[in-house]
Amino acid sequence: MFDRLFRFFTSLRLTVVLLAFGIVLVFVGTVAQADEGLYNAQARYFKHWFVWGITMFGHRIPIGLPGGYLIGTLLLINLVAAHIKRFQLTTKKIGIQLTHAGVILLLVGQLTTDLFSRETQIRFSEGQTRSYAESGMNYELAFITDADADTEEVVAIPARLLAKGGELKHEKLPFAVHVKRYWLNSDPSFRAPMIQNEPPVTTNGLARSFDFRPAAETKSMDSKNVPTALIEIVAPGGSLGAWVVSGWAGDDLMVEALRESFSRQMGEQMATSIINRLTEPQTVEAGGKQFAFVLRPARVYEPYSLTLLKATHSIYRGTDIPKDFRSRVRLENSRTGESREVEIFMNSPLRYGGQTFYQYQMAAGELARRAGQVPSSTLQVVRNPSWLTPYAGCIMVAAGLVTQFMIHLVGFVARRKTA
Amino acid sequence: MIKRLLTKIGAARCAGLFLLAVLLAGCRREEITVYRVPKEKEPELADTQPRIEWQTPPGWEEQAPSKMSLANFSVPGEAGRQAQLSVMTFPGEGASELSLVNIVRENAGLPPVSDEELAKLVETVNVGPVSAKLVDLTGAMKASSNAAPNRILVTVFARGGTTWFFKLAGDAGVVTAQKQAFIGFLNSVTFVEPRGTRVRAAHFASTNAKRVPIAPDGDAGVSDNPLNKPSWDAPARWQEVPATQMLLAKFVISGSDGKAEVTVSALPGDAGGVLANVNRWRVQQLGLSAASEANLSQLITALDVMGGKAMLLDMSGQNQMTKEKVRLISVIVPREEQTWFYKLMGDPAIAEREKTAFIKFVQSVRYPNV
Repeated sequence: MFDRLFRFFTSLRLTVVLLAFGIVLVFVGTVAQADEGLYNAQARYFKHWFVWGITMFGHRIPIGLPGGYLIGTLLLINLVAAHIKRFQLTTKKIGIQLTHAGVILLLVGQLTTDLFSRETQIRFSEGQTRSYAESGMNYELAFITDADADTEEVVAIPARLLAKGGELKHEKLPFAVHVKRYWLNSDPSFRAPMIQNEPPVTTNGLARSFDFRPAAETKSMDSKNVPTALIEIVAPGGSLGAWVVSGWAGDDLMVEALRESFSRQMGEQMATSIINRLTEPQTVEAGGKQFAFVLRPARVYEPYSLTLLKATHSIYRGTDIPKDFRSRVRLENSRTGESREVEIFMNSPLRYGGQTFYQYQMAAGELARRAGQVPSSTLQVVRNPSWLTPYAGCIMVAAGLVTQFMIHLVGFVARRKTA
Repeated sequence: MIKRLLTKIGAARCAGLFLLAVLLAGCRREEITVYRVPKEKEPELADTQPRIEWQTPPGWEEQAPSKMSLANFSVPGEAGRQAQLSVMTFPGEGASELSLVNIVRENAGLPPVSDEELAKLVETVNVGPVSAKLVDLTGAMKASSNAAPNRILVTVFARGGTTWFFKLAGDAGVVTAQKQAFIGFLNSVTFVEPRGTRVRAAHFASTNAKRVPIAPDGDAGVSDNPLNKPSWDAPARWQEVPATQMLLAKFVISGSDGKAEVTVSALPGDAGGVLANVNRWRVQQLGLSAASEANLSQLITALDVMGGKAMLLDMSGQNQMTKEKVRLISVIVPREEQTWFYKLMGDPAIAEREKTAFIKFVQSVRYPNV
């Protein structure tokens, strides 16, 4: 039985079948991105074990395919098993061994990248300091309370847990959070005094000034899903009330987009007034403490901080074509006593603390100045512990192929000479 | 040697264990996290609400503000009778004075008044530095109920992106006796400017193909419950675009002869009256003089629409934003509980060309309960 299994996993036929499935999957998964969106298609086709039902050119086809995880895992097992079976510690085969090891490293590297890499963003205006990066897609419901005069304690509930509904509890919270409604994507509408509105879903906080309605999940790269939830906070003594929490109020990017939208329609003053209502902090008192709560982009705190000193956005004269995006930042780490200035610009990222900070977006320069905006910059923060594996893997494969070729070439030339 | 050793252990088992270890290490179950961080030193969102300060007249008793009001006072009178003063704010300055006063009148059980009637009911007062109108709603509610207010003095005005209500309501005798004290109170008001938030960018230039997600124009529209939204037949050449604030639908018409927009909106009740709305368009959007009630009828042509009659207006003027010639063709459809507004506005040539199609469009509208 074990021998049959071993033979199956070491067979070359399995390799061919898996590679064929791999080709089909890459094709189908790439085409499906047009209908399902990049992130959705990547997750469904490449980050799952099985794919049920595929989308091709707008048509849903009810067939099953092995997912990226399954093909990758089986290929890895196949390769490792074949490597072990045919392993010969001889100089003649050293090139082949090296090539196999390189491919294994590539596969393992891709798997670990998939499992451990993280992409976040730091968005700040000139003069602002950030010791955290924010997720571009995921949200969290943060309950924030004073720990002492200088620090605050944050209990962060991932939005995915809210999506499951029901009751959420944590020992640091003197109350339970009942999720009554959750919308993965939502649209806000201002409850203007002159418009006939339905009664608000709750009479607390944000819901008094804004209504939210569910929106279809967006799959486009140019937009994002902004969640909204209706939660009830229940202390041991009874309900403390219901509140609406929304990414529209807790995500600075969305708030600014709304401000701009209102401003265009109603003028700056009115827009500011409406946005003030939107971003008014919501709080609840329980267990002798006051908790502020907000549904905001999920944050990752670091033991160091970056301060944006200057954002430079220059363009080629007479055109709108960007010439240079450049952020001058001060990096401070209280643990190491480090304090230095760094310039981050295109193709020149900052590598620090196991992360890479790339210059990502920029709102500076003439346009921002004319719009009365404070110049700001966005850095893409990438953590990928296995970022070196593709380089190492490719070098090993190349070295293995060259070695094997040279061994054959030298042997061939030697044989010709003796002949 | 190595090969034999590995074969003995079980090569597949080795590979399986390795993968299991990697996968287990990578299984990050999402869970609630707790952490401590330094307090953010940017109180950008603090103190952004409108605030006022005042001098409390003698005898008035200040009460705790409620969810709806910024300040409350109990105003005592003789024989235990009393009145109540509340200061309320609503975001925005969009509503006309007349419609705001009519809302108060409606709440007080009084019929709405016209602009001319309103002029007779008001006197000018100073609320701190702001000149505002004090409206006397005598006769509000029947005096048969002891608890019900029977006189209301209200001051409504817009300032700093906020509409302010100062309402003294209660026993007629108390309100009359305290009118001067109320005016003194209004004079004493000072406005505390809210700290404005720094305007930050919503749009970013990107260094790669990914663009920043931005909210579409339709993100702040009126809640459009599909059950309450009418259906219509719009010409295919009209391009429907996301509706913006206060609108239910918006179409863009472009051509070589210019550009125009068709918008659909609905407001509760009579939406402040036909005259108020027509004059808003005439003065604010077309740069024309305000029409009187008498010449309003000359501007209006009756139009048959599904379920009744509507008012068609056709006016030309100068776009107050672009200073270019503009034509506005609008249809006002009064219904039981709402007034519907359809507007075709744009370059005169395209407005002329699309007028018939626009009227057909309005006539094609089927309301949910028709």
